Amino acid sequence: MTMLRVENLTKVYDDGTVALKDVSFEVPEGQFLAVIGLSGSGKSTLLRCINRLIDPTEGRILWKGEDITAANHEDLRNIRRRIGMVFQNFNLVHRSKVITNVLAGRLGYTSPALSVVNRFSRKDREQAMVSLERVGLAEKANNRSEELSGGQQQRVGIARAMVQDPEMILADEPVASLDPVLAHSIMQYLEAINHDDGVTVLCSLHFLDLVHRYGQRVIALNEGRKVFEGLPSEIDDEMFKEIYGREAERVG
Amino acid sequence: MADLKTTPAKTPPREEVKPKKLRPVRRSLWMAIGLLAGFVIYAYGFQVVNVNLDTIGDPVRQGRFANIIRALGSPDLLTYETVATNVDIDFAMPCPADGFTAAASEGGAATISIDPPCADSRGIVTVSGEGFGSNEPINIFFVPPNGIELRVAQVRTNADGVFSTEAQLPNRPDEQVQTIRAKTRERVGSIFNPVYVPTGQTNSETGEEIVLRSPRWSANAEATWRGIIQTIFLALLATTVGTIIAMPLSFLAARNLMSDVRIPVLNVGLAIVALPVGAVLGYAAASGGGGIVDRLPGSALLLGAVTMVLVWLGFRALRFAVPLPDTERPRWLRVGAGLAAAAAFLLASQSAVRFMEIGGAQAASVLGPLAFLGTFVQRLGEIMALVFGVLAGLAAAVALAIFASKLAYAIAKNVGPGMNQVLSVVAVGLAGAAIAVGIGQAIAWMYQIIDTTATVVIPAAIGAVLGVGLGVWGAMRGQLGAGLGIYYIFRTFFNTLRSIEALILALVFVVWVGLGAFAGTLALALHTIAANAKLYSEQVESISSGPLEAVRATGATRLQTVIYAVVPQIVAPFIAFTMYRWDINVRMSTIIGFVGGGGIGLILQQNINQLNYRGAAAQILAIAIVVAAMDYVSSRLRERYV
Ligand SMILES: Nc1ncnc2c1ncn2[C@@H]1O[C@H](COP(=O)(O)OP(=O)(O)OP(=O)(O)O)[C@@H](O)[C@H]1O
Ligand SMILES: [Mg+2]
Repeated sequence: MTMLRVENLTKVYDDGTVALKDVSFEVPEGQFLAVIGLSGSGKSTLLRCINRLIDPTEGRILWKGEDITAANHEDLRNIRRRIGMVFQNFNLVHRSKVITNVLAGRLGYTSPALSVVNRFSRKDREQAMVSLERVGLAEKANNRSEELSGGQQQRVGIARAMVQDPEMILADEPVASLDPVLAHSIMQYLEAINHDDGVTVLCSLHFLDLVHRYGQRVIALNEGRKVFEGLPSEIDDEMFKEIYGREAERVG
Repeated sequence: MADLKTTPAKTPPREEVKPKKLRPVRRSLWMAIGLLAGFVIYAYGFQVVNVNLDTIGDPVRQGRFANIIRALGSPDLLTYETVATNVDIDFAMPCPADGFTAAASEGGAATISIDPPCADSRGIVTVSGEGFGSNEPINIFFVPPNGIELRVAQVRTNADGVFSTEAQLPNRPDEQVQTIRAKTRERVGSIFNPVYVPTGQTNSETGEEIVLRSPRWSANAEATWRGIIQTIFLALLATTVGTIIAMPLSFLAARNLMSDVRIPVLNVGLAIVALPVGAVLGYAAASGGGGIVDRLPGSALLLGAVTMVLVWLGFRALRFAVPLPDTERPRWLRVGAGLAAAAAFLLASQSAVRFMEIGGAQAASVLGPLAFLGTFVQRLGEIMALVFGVLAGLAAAVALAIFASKLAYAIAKNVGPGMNQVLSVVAVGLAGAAIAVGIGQAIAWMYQIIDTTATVVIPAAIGAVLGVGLGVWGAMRGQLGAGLGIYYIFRTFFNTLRSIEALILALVFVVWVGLGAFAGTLALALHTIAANAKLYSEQVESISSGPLEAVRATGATRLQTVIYAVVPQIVAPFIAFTMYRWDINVRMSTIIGFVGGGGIGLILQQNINQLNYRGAAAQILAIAIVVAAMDYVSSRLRERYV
């Protein structure tokens, strides 16, 4: 079954930058899709268009048959809460406690009136603790987020996405600011969510070996155009040059 | 790891922008012109500000300046009781035929003598004395037999305690022997060793003799104390009120929160039309609720009980209307409960207001010295009564606008896009007409126009046309950048308000509410709203956007995003800015009295006008101490919180 269908997506920023040009692809339910491309090729723009953090200029995005691009902001709330997002810079609220950052993942299900008085249901709190346990940070629940290391912060970011009960996770270079060992441990959490919970994952990545290791399928962008779609193993030297440019050299 | 060494394929080589080099001659020319311009500007400046060194050098003016500086050194803070020492000598007026020789003067070590020893009316005598303290001021009196002292001369002893002065005597001839008296006054008591001086007068109520402490605070010192207390609380109130209002508004003036708020045209139109309707309904509901509460007997006890019950009911209804996410409840039930809660809270606040007014007055009458607490409650009640209608109107306006927006979404779902566009244009046209009529009414009020064609019909027509134009333009694009619109409106408003100095605002409020600290408080509060809203919104604009986008991505509403992603980031700077503003407001309030805004400035100004520099010195000193203390405290607190 198709989970996500992107049709002729184009994004032109206000300053005229064409970040995406006529991009179309499909993601079946439960797939781990890697998105690769040079810096500036439009990976972040693509992922942010999918949950409308950025409004696309043209094209349609169908999520489970629902047109995200046409959704009004009430519909959007219902869509967004089922799509978790993980960021390169973790994007935790530093001054808030770890548990509060995780609970923020439940906001889409919480009445705004209750949020004013900072209330979450008991079930939400329990669920938040469960997902903190799952990423091994239960004992840090009451620490301030800024006290955590980068890898720990990203695990909190994953826990936050998990309490959303997501059907899909968008991960925008989740390991780009972590060292290689940590990178694998974070990727393994995403892999587990994908594998065990059946959550579809769209993950943009920099390192090709991570793509080979975790990606089930790959799309590649170059200057906003989709230049490749296929299996990780299909990226040969010729394809590599196509994606990363003629002068790029493959190392290792 | 298979790492990538990436050289981007087609990056154009960066062109270095080199600053244009001027040739040396032209550079010198420009320099000379610059210098010349500077010369002219400063010369003109000297002329317009009347730089006049003559007045600085003028000895008379220098003397005045020295007096002020010296007065600063001895501020009028203490009043001393004095004891008088009299040195008396007999005197005859007119001179008896057989001449007159006075007995030696009496009065301890000091003696005086008169030359000549007797004189006719209005005669001139020389009074000399010795054995006094050095540099002591001495008053010379002529004391006729009735004992009333008539001062005839004032003199100061020299370093050896000796004086001599001429005195013209009054016209008081008498058969009996009269007296000439040299009187010295000495302060009694000192700061570390005060004494209590009986005055000889009795308190008419208690019948006890009045005893005065020496030294004691002077009347000026007491006025200074009251003034500075008033000033500090003036600043506190103004800061509090200004901050409370500025905080929520500052979010509306923060570009990063507002710029991406785009709203479908139909929603904008319906919401704008809903705003005034809601305001009127809310205001009417508030006054209606007030009417119901006014029927109740004016007993504080009953009103208090009614308030509590209503609040409890309101909360029950609210809990029902906004259940925890796990519970399912039909929508109409929830909406009904929400309305019930609103009604309960409305009535509760009305009866709370009445309770505070009545209860406060009653409490004030029994609390004795703490009566100000009761009065405070009463005043708060009055303020709430005043603000309440406005708040209810505002709340209802917002609620109805939200409802209108929801309605617009529902409409958009159920009609085709063409129909939606038509409706949008109509709604925005109506909205334009509504806004224009509002502006028309403001103009009518301002210039006292009563012609309704000019203030209602024409504006409505113009507004409708403009609205339809905007609607057509918006309907083609689907959405309007309403957020940016609101942002610009608030920014402009705050910038305009901020550019009016608090002193000038104070002048306006003095005209409105009369002289005194209340006018000053209002002026400072208003200025604080504008100034803080600016600072706060800049702070909001400088938060890191990552968490914002992360919280938004979870499906959080805008309100939730602000609460969970913005607020935690700005608490510390907000506290710092509020402290800073209190600091500034204390400074400001010290001088706001100069234009009638009450507090210590008023006293200072009066003293300066009366040339009472020693009195003024006390106020200047007090201001300096308070400002320095505030500076210290606020900077310490800021360090602590940031
Ligand atoms: N807010 C914006 N306004 C204008 N242009 C933008 C904006 N955000 C991104 N761009 C431009 O759009 C293009 C794509 O950017 P994007 O961030 O999507 O690339 P990316 O593939 O995620 O890069 P990276 O790997 O460095 O994160 C770039 O040229 C970028 O400069
Ligand atoms: Mg990126």
